[in-house]
Amino acid sequence: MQLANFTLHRLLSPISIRCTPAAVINRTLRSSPALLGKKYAKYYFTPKKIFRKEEIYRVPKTQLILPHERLDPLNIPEPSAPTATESGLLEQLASAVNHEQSTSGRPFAIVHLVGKQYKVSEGDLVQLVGKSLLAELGDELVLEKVLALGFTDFTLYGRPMLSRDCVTVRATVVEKTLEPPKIRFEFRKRQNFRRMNIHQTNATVLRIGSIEFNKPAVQQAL
Amino acid sequence: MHLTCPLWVRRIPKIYRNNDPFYLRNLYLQFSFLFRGRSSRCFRLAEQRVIKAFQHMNAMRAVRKDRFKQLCDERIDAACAQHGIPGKMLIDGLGRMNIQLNRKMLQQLAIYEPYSFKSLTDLVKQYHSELGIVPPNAEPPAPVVTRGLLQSPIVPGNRKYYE
Repeated sequence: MQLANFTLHRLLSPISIRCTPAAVINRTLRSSPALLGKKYAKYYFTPKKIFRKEEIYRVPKTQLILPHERLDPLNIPEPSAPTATESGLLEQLASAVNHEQSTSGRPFAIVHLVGKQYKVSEGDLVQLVGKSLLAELGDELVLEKVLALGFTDFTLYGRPMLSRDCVTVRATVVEKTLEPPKIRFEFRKRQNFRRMNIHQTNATVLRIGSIEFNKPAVQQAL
Repeated sequence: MHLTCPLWVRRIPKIYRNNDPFYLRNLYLQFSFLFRGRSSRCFRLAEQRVIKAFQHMNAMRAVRKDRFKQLCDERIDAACAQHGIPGKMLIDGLGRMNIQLNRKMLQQLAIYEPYSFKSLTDLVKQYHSELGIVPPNAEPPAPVVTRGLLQSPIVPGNRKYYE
């Protein structure tokens, strides 16, 4: 069995190995840090970085939230009630579409890409796991399968997708690398069966450029 | 060249390292770093704990996906409850209307885009009220302009309403 040469702390984070907190070690050695060599000091005195639970409960930050965009969760202002007439609502929507300016606020788009959906806005990074695209570094792509579009005053939902005339989402290929190695270890007890497989999947990283919104096409649909 | 005993023993070419016990044991001891007690230092204990750790890792692969799905359902349910609708009704209603947003995206909208999420719940309420189904303890839905299209199937004849 051959083992690739990679550092341990990279392995510990994504897999659920049972590690005890370094509290006992810390208590005994905190009084005498000089006894520890510099090599292992960082592991004993920074337990939070290593002894953390799986990060499935962490919501990924796919969009930067600027300070003026943050909502106070206790005081969310309710939107004004729309008028009851049918034509009134359509006029409101048409006027919102007209007055939409790309400089105010950040539009988001929900994009279907390589079998998965991503909520995307300008300047985001998207990692496609397991795939190496034919596109080379620096190539510009247009993501055509847009399921939803959101702006400050209105959102557009496609059933299931919006048309290509309405919107263009541009992206560039930034990186084509391998993921960190993953281990698959099979063990059957009392049968002398052990197999270790280490595999690394391809990963491409896209940087989302701009989300362009075509007003006449949307107004035609309305 | 005269070497000390340990160095002489360890001076093994790379092709034979797979059969050298030092390297075979070091394999497991690398993974047992920061384990409790002698399981991190002694091979005979480390081997057992490392194998068990790998078994936990394999078992978690399927469980991780189920847990993430449960988490998304919980978040969607909580966000829909603020609008008076059960979470399953939202997912079912959106599916019937052919809006193909998955649970991961719905929970992202519920967290980061509350107004967009409210519009989705309004759509679902309108769809069900047109069929005559009223969710319990729900406020009346905000006026939604449908032009009778929520119920009609998407066929090439009325394609212009969807593009």
